[in-house]
Amino acid sequence: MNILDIQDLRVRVGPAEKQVSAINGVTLKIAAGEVHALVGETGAGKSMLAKSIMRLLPESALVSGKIFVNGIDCLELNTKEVTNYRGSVASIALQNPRSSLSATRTIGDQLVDRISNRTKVSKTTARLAAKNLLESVGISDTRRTMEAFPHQMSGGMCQRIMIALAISSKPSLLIADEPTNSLDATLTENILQLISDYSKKEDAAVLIISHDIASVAAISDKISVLYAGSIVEQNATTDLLGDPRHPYTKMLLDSVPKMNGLAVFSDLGSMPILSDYPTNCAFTSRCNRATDACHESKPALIGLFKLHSLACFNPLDKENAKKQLPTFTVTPFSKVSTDKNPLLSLKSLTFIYKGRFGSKGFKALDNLNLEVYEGENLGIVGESGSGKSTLGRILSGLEKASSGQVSGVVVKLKLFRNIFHEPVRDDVQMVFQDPIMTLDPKMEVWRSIIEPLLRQNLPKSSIEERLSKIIAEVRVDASLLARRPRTLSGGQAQRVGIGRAVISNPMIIVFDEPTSQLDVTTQAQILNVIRENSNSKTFTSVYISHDLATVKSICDRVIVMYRGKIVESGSVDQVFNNPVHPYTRAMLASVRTLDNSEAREWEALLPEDQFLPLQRGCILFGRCPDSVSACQNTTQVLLPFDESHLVACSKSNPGSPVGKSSISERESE
Amino acid sequence: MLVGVVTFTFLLVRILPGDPVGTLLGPNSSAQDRIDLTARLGLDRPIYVQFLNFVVDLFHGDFGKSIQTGRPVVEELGAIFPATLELIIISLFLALIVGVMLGLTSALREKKLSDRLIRLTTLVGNSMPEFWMGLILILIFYGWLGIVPAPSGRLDTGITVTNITGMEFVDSILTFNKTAFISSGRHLFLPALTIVFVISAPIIRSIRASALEVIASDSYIAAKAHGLGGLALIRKYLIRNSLISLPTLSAIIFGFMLGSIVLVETVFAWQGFGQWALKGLSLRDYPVIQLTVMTVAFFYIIAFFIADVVHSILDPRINI
Amino acid sequence: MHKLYQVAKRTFHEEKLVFFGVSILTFYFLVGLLAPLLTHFGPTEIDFEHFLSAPDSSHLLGTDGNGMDILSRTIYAIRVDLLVSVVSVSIAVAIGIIIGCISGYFGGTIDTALMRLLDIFQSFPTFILALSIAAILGPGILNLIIVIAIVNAPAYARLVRSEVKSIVIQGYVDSARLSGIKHVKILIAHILPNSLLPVRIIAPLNCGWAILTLAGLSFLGLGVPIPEAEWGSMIGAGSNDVVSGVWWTSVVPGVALVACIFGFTILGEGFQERQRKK
Repeated sequence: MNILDIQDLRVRVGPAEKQVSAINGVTLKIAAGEVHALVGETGAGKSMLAKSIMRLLPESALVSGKIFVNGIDCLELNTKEVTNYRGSVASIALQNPRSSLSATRTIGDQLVDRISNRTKVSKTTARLAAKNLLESVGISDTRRTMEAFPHQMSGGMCQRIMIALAISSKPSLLIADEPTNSLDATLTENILQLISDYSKKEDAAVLIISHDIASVAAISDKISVLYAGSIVEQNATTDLLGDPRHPYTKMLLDSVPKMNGLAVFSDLGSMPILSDYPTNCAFTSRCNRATDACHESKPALIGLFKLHSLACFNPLDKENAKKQLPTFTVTPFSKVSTDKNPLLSLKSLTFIYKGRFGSKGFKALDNLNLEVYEGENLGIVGESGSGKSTLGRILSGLEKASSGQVSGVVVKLKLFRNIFHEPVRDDVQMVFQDPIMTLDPKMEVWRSIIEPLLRQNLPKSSIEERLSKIIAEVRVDASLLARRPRTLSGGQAQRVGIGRAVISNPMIIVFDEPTSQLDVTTQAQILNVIRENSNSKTFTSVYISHDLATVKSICDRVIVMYRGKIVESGSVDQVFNNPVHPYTRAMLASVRTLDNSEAREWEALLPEDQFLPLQRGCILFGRCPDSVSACQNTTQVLLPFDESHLVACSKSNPGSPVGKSSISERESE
Repeated sequence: MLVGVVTFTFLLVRILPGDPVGTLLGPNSSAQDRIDLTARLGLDRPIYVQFLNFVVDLFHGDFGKSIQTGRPVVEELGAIFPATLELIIISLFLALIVGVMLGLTSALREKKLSDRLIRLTTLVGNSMPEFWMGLILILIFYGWLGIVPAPSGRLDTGITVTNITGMEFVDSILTFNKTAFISSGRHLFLPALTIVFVISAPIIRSIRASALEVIASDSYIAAKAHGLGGLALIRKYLIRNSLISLPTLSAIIFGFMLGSIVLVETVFAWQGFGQWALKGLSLRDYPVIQLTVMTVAFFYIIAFFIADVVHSILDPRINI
Repeated sequence: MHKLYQVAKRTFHEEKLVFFGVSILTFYFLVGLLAPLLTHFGPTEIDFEHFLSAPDSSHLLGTDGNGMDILSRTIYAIRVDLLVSVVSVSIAVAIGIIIGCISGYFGGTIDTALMRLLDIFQSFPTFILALSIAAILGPGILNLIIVIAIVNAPAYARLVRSEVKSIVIQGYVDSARLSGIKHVKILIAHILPNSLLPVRIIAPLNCGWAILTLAGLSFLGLGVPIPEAEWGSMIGAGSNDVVSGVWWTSVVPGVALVACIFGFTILGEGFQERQRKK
């Protein structure tokens, strides 16, 4: 029995001059007890679909088609009926749970609002029901939570509360919109499990919307892939992941970073924003299998055998579906040469963000030592709060360290400030995280690209020459040069940013999370551009990221940071294939890849509920499952574990006396 | 902050060109008279001595004597300030009620006729000089309709009220004085109406903008998405969140009123603080000016303090 | 010319506030400019036969207590009010931009010091500040311009400062620094163009307030020197006449005053609307 039955839904939104055809003929059925994932990139129309089902579209939206929920077409309901429908028949756990909770009402009150909304219950009954609800989503301290306000809750708690709010009236259809955005791996698993449990227990239909296939794959029964407002492929989860027949599905799966290397990717396109209902297949411009039929008419979603539906005139066959793309070669260990003089050398570097009026301030970097060598691709890995961005800014000279020494062979360090000119280290450039914000919105893009050259006083012809050379190398089309940043897509803008970084032939380029704000397919494009350029040019690159797979595919050497300190460093090969520090191991264990072929068994770290004050001893103490009392008092130092593999853990590292004994312990187990 | 204000006051006043003694005694005074008066007022001593005396006196609560009347300025202030305060507070109170109601209505009926009308009215209100508004109201209500007494003072002649707070309206309530109550009320009517019309404009606009923001916010949509609606939705999710910016705005408006109340007082001959201050300013009556400036700054700071407290009550995210 | 018509037509349909605001102000500007051609009497010309006379065929809008023609004075007053408000707001904007850019870009002690200074200025309500400074400087048009400019400048400084601070966080300033571009060049080429938007939106509204302040000061006698024609002082002079039923001495200049400010107000509102639509 299908709880959700969408039939040829078409939605157009926007003001008269700028209409967007957001949903173009979606047909979708979800049965009771089924967990269905809707996957797509930015602009595909996922949120629009959710809003349509919940009747939350703006009044000016043009909607056609039918959406049956529990047998009733929700598009036909009048305003009063809609209020009854929402929450009890269909409900949604919205994106950004923190901002979706009202800041001025307690959690308890917000729960009671929903519970007592439809049926008259006494206040005590409602509060008791609220507490039960909180327990069912995994919140144990219900009394304190009921009286708390949203801003006092962590992100994970907010997400749980959002789910509690959504399921409070036991809806037959639950929509979860990006439920795991910005949550770490353990929480993600937890939340997804909650959603799955609800479905099984109440025999409800669940629609999970996500841009991250890897995380939702674990609990979904079926997956639908959305592109430019239409579903292009739909199948049982394992079949879709293992045997994708639509070229876009395949592209999507190929772009997800894998631990075995970076795939060579030639696509440069992005999701089109359609202003009219499409008369042909929207993917054609990016598809290398496009035929004439694809240009002429729009393929319909046709059900094939079993649970598989496909909208394509020229789908992949089994062989092509399973084919892996060629990858860039992984750097062998020998390339890492640490015997020459380093380009940049940081000793005992500390950086403190000053607090406001009385609070002590926040130590972003703590007594750090680092060398950067010529020609290498150094990766800096860590979660948010580890200090990696601050380190990047100090390396480039944008920030001055609070204490410690920065020196180098080639670079002239004139870190003084005067009112006319603040020279930073010569020949260092940076690629930033938000591609569009980091370009001057009032300047045409070509001006931004050539800006680093202005200091050299080159003749106009040389500048033009360099410009055309660079845009070819970063694959920026000449037609984009006269545009303003806001009219570019994320991928285009980031390529412009890379062009700006390489144009003056800098000695070092620092990449600060250049792909974290981009969609998967765009990420793959950018990583390709970066990799090609670092192969063909001689600059040293420092790549900062929280994504281990991309770091593995781009870098030779890597350092792992946690709360301002380096916990482990070595070649990519050493650290990723043989991690020693418990933090590194836990990070690697949480990497969710599609293949899951390298599922690790290492123990996860205990969750971090509060920010523990920094102690003298190991910063991981309290979270590390292996910690002993000695760890609390010994200052951890980076010591060699194996050749150039350094680890700062007195227990696991045989370089230290504590470590030696524990290693032999482990071996004897 | 207070130190800055006090010093600034002293300096500001001393920078004023013009000679209070000469102004007081008139152009026909003899040089000897002027010297005598200057010495008597202590104005012949060096500046830093004057400043020291000033600060010391402050600590004793002695703000000096008015050069014009010779009476302690604090006493004079006490006589007229409550009346002004009464006018300001009553007007602000009414304006807040009107402002919140119209602002919320406007936001809930966005783009409909009532919204447009309200917005148009606020645009006019923002363009209206209060002194002229007062005159027009006098023309209409007194000149043509005759339902309001002549604009002079706060009570009809012959009616008195025992002085408890110095505010006639409040005092008449406290002493159950019916005639005084009606009389002061009628005198309050036009000035208050003038002020309310002018200051409710920014209040309506601010509330409207806040309310629209709330309606478009994630949390409001989330509440709707879970089936909440009607009056309960508005009461629990809209109102409080829309009022968050109100305390600060009220403090700013309070300060603004304190500064420009002289305009309304002049039109209605209210004999209040504004007029007293203006006279002192024109005649270079230093103690008066000093006390004026310090009073204004003092109340301005208090207003913001109260606003902060109310703000933190409304918004649980703030801890003072 | 044809292009102007096109622009006007489009504005009328899409942005009525801007259209009417510009229309009103243009009207005032032209009338003020062509004042001598449009009036029978000079602004301070005394007609000894008509003191405080009601509107009639010789004086379309009556005369005031000094025998001066209300209509002419009202029209000539446009010059004073528009001039003072626009010039003083321009100066305030200039001061505000300079202070705001320096404060927001360099930060640190300079920023704190400047903001403390502004704090002291802003701890007094604007009108009292204007009163005090006007009293210090004495009467005169130039002094009035200075007064209004000083009183309005802090707001612009804060506005620009917060814009600049949010611009500095965006990457292109960092990128320019990495490329070795000098501070001054960064300020002029990157920061200035991007920080002006809120200023452009507030400025018209501010001109309206400037006129209000000017009129208020003149009403109290602290503004424009006596025989000069200015709406506020005209209303002030005529305020005592109201009780005796003489309405034209205060109502006429008041209407002109309100309409002029209204023009600025709806223009400012129109700009805000335009910004919201984006």
